[in-house]
Amino acid sequence: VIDQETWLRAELERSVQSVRPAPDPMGRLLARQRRRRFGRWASGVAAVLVVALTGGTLALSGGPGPGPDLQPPETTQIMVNEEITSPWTRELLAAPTRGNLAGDQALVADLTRQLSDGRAQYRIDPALDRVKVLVLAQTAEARIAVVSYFNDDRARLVELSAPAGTSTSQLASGEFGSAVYGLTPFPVLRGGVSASGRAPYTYVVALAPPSCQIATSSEASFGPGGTVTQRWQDQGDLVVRSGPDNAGWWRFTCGGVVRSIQSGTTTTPQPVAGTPALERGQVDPALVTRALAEWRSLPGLPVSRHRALWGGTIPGTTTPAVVIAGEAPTGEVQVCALVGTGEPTYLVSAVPGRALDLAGGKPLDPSVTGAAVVVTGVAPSADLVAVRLPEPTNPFVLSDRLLVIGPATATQLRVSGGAPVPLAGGVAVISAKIPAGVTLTAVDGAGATVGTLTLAEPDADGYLFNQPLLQGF
Amino acid sequence: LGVDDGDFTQFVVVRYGDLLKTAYLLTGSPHLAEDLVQSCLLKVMGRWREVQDPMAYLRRAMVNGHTSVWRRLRRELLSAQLPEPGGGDPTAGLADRTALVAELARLPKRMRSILVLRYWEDLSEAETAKVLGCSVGTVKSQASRGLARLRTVFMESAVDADATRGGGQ
Repeated sequence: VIDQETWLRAELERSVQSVRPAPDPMGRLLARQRRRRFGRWASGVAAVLVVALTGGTLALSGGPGPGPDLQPPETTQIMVNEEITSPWTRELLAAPTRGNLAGDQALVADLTRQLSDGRAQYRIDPALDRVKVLVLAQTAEARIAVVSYFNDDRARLVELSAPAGTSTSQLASGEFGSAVYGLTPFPVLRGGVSASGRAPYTYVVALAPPSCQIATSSEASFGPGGTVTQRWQDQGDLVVRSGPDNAGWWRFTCGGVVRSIQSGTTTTPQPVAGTPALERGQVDPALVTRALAEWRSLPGLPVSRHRALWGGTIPGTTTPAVVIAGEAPTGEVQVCALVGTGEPTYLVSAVPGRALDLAGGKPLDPSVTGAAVVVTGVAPSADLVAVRLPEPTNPFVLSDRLLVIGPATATQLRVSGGAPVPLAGGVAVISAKIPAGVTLTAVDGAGATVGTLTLAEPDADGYLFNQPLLQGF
Repeated sequence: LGVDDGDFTQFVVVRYGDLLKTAYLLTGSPHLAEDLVQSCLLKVMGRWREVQDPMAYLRRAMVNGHTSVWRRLRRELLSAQLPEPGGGDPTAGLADRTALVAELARLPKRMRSILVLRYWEDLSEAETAKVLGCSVGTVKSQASRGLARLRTVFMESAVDADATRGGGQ
């Protein structure tokens, strides 16, 4: 006979005996952090913004779990944007089921029936009264389904996967993994499962309407003037791959028009050899370390060395910032600036008023404006670099202000031959509307040119290292 | 977030399993448990150097975190990464594990949290009260009621199981 407390302790111990973390918890934690920031533009970021707009406090990299000093309001509403706004979404829904299991009509029908019966577990609005299996595929390790619940006006996407050999009901139940998003015409889904007694797996699924073409690029290079060129490879209208997403960039073309360009996730962080010394300015060394840590997750080009070009308070503000440059072997640089010290950290790439500006001009909850942000750029050399600063009242979009870091000897900056702008220690903030097409020339006290930078921003919905992000559907 | 902090990495490697077990008892689901642990770790990562007692901080964050908000969010934002629930007795113990965890999950949230903190985390009544922001009296009464409720359910289950076995023979 044992007392109740001893009994419960023993039962609790027995209940968790077999609970063990999957391998590499730190790696998975960082992967989740990266997924949150750089993937799933149309869903994750949308959800974050909706939370922000509705008064919630969800953080992009901090996750929804509350800390002791940050209690989630019970009234927080999460909404997935499920309105069908593009004819390409309708074309996607009208397409036949694809994937290497699509020919098994009995299997597709069985899965469809089970999903129809089990819609409640995915919190599907009953008004979305139709179910369609868009993709049903089998890799060596997993069975994957991409499903949509929809009606004439709205659609949700449900991503399901289960280890190979599991039943259709296990796949339909989401027992091994599921995720729900608003349906966009060009979804890129990255998933994975590590389950007991089964080999862990990851996968990537991307699909487009059958009349469209998917292309991926895992290689890019600098061209003249610091421009970046991707090497695109056609992939058809469906991609199902085992393993992590190593594509880097995804492009979707319909009718000869590029409709979407998405940056991929970086599953293998770029190596950074130590923390470089700050070359100019003064800033908390922790900010340099933090900026470098952020850099490692960005889907950039090969870097031969990192430099901490400048740190200090952004002119005209009280906001600290640090500017890091990653030099290519040929001398061109990618630039990553960390602005602010708050938590969490947002990657800012959206052009205001365009498709990736999900706030659409609506006021944001003040809780999001204290976040630190990362902005990016490229330049022919580290002598003169510029990064677009975030909008102070909306950390999710870029502003008209450019932070320019020139040589320490530079005293003036000429902007496409306009009136000179004084530089303080080689640094200034200038105005340049998006998309900018300007040439910046830094001159020293004797009037000699000590740096030039041509900034040619493409017409796009967002920029990452000056490469266009598009969501024009 | 600054992630070049060796202490943090070491903490995650060493304590992740413990956190996961606590989260499993709090949430009743291995999937939710992993999500809860990761969410709380991401939260603390950015302020790691400011946290005096990381386990206490995370314990409190997890207890506060397994709310309905979390449940609403999980399918919206997370991709699947399950912890590994398998172990030494994949069949015989499964029913019991499921039964206890399921019964825990049926308890009111505060009562469940109190039982987990008191009898799994081995916190004192005062420490438990501090984590939950309630009085020691509440901890005492809720723990007592929760224990009795679980014990009653399990006694009834044992009786039912014995009766079933007897009838089948």
